[in-house]
Amino acid sequence: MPTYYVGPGGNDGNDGLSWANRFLTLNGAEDEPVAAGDTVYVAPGIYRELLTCDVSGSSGQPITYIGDVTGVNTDNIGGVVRITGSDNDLTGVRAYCVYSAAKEYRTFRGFSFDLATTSFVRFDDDVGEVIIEDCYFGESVDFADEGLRFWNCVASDTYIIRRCFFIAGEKALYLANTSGEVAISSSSLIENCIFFGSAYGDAVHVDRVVGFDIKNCLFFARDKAVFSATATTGSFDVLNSIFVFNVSALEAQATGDIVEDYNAVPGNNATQRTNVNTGSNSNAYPMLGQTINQAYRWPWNLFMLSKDSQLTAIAGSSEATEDFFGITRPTTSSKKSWGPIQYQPATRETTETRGSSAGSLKLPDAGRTQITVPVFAASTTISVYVKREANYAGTNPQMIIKEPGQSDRTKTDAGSSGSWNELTDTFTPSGDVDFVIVELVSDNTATSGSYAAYFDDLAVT
Amino acid sequence: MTTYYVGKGGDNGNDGLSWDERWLTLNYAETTIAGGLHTVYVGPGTYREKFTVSYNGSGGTHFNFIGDPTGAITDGIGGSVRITGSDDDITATRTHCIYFSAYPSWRSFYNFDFDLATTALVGFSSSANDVGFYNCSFGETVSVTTYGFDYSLFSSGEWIQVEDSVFIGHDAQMILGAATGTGGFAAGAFANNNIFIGSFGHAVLVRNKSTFYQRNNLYIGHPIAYQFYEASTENPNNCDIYNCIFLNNTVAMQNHSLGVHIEEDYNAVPGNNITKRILISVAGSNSTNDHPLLEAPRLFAGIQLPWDMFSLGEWSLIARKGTNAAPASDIYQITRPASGKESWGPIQYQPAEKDTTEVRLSSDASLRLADAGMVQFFLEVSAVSTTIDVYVKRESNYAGTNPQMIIKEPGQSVRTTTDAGSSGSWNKLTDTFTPSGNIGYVIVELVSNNTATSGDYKVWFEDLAVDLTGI
Repeated sequence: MPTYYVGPGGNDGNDGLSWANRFLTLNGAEDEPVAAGDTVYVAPGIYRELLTCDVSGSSGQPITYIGDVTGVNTDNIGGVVRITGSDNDLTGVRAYCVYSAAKEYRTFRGFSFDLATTSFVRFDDDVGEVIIEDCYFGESVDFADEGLRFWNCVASDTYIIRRCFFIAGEKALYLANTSGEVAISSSSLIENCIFFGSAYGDAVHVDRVVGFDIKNCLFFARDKAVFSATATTGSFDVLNSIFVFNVSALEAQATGDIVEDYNAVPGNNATQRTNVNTGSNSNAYPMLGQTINQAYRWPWNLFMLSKDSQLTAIAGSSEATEDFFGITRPTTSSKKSWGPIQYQPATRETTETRGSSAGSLKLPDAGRTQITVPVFAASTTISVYVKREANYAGTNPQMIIKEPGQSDRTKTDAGSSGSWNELTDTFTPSGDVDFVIVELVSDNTATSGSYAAYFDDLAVT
Repeated sequence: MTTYYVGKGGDNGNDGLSWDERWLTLNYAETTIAGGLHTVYVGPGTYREKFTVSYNGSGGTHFNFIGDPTGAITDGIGGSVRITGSDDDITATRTHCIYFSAYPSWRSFYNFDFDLATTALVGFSSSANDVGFYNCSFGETVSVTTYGFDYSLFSSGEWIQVEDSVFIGHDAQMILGAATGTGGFAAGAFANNNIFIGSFGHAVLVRNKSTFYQRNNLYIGHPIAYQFYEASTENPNNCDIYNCIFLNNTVAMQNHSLGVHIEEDYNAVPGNNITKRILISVAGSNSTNDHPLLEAPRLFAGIQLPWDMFSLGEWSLIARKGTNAAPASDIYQITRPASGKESWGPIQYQPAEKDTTEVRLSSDASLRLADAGMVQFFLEVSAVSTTIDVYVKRESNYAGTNPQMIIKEPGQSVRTTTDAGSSGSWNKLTDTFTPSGNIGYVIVELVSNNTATSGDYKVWFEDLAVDLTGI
């Protein structure tokens, strides 16, 4: 099970077994040929080719292509790993970015796709056992393009699409079986995806494929958000998702084809449901996305719930355990948020502060805030003081230091509640990337009493 | 001219003349001040009232309501300054967030978030003159028939500006004019640097009105992004549209009739718009089918990078083309490069790339700005003496103002340090100052102002060092 490397400056005449001896092209790796269990690290850069899958992996031994966006396994620089159907960033010349006919057990992670003329990524002819994760399906060259297409899904095979972002296409995600209804593996799921911004394009377009779940997705300004094109005897489930500004949110040909519950489908969808029964736990709450603070460029996420959103306080059902960013969701059911992003921003607090500090960061409940800190490959100490209120329950507040490509470093409050306790960590960053992310976390599970957590005096030396 | 304050914890029995003596409600401020050349700062928080605007500014100078999302002037905490039509954040109960009654003139509004009204987020009972909305978010509504900015009822309006704002959802996001009542805007009426996302009808619909300009807007996912409808017979001047980006719309631009009314040029209208132009006989000679190629996120588990999906990616062709009469700054109020290198659309922020070959001493990498642009860091600081420094190297053909380190703290003056060394060497930029402590952070901007168009003009920044002493 060798590991191969692909990147700019490589040569397909190399053996591909190290970064120094990397291949130049994706097809250079594929044609080696890759075999079941192999991993291919693809460096940041632009790949102007159609990757044709020639080989199948096997059960438990998929062939995995990883776009190395942080650069820690490849060029040590990092950046977008882009496969494009264009040679000039203006017109599309290739039908697909990635194409597979009858090749299964394939995994793709960390790629950006755009400007193909037919489908960005297409799996034809009985292809199953596919995982697509952490991918971006960007702009299409034509209004008839598709983002990700599975054509003729296979009974009992597994299809997993998670943490992907789609702006493309007449159909962003297309699951079909042309020869009749097929029930794919119940492990199949579409999870933590964001479908965004097309006046004419469907988000998830399903034709005679049943038996899978759609969980914790956000459907934002599409034509048909979740659409079942043909009546079926089986069904698929839609759970814990948010629908805003869609022309048609949930649409089937016959009642029972789509089973939905725990979804937010407010009146700003022109049609909320067509031939879909309203789940007993679904509601019409608006999303209330995080809004903008201009003049200063805040890290701003249109797809994050604001502190005013009522959705954050609603129980869900069998949610994804992580969110779009891979952050673990709080475990107490009554605190789960909906949709793909449950990251909860901290608010600034001026009354509960340590010493003469002007303000602290307050996490009113389970959640976290992230701070990006520039670092170098020299011994670095990061410390912060934390105070939790008396009724806080669950794992005590934590400081987690994340560096791409490195293990998380976690420090947990071991002091008593009601006092300022210091969390401190000394380490030497790898220097591969020039930042770490400091996460300040409340894991509170209490639902009554006082359970806020405060952080103050973050210091980096 | 007097400065007044409105905020949470205020009392309408106060005099409103300081934050400590702030009023509680927007309507109390409006009716108590009763117009004139004044400024009202509004603290962060949610205002559950229909703000009825009925008084004039004075002598052509505006009566301003300014939301303070950084908190620097009001509560010292910061947050969204939100006017909502809802009492429970679930259902909408009021028709408008801001409603212009009678004929108020010379009025401007900054930094507000609007949502959940039933008729329109901002509406007008009749005409209004000299009205500006800046840095506002026209957010979620609970119905598909709600308008964002509803200026349909006016009959002789003269001048409005909507700039640096974001619109999501709505029937029409901006509607100007109606089936009856023709008229023209005064010169200077425009919508610039706005992001329009996902309406059910139009991003911008102009009916029977003329001389309304649009510059550097981004339109994503609309049935019709811009329509000029029912042309004014009385004043058939153009409603021009320049430097805008259209993405995933059913129709990008639709004119009332061939000829005048819409003059479009310097726009990016790629093929993912089903119909690009209706009744526009000639596409602008400088318009393009280029794709904006918005910045792609680096999605990988566990790490959330600050990511702005509306920035142009490093490979976007349109980021490198000249534009026409673009606003001097972008939606973040970052100054656009002045030398024919301006980018299209509302965001021209250009991310730096990491460079491992051009480094200082034994460093692993530097940040490279390939051309005019800037990168921003958020740094946590407290009210103690703080030193921030960085090394910079510019190439020999770099022209224009030398590279800069700019430190921004909300509510404080901008601190700028400019490279005074020679090209080709690593020069140190350093600044020592004491942050106000009102806000827990500063923004450090590393800037290339290059205007050269040939030769070598890249800039590298390296070894940013900060004395980080507290939140």
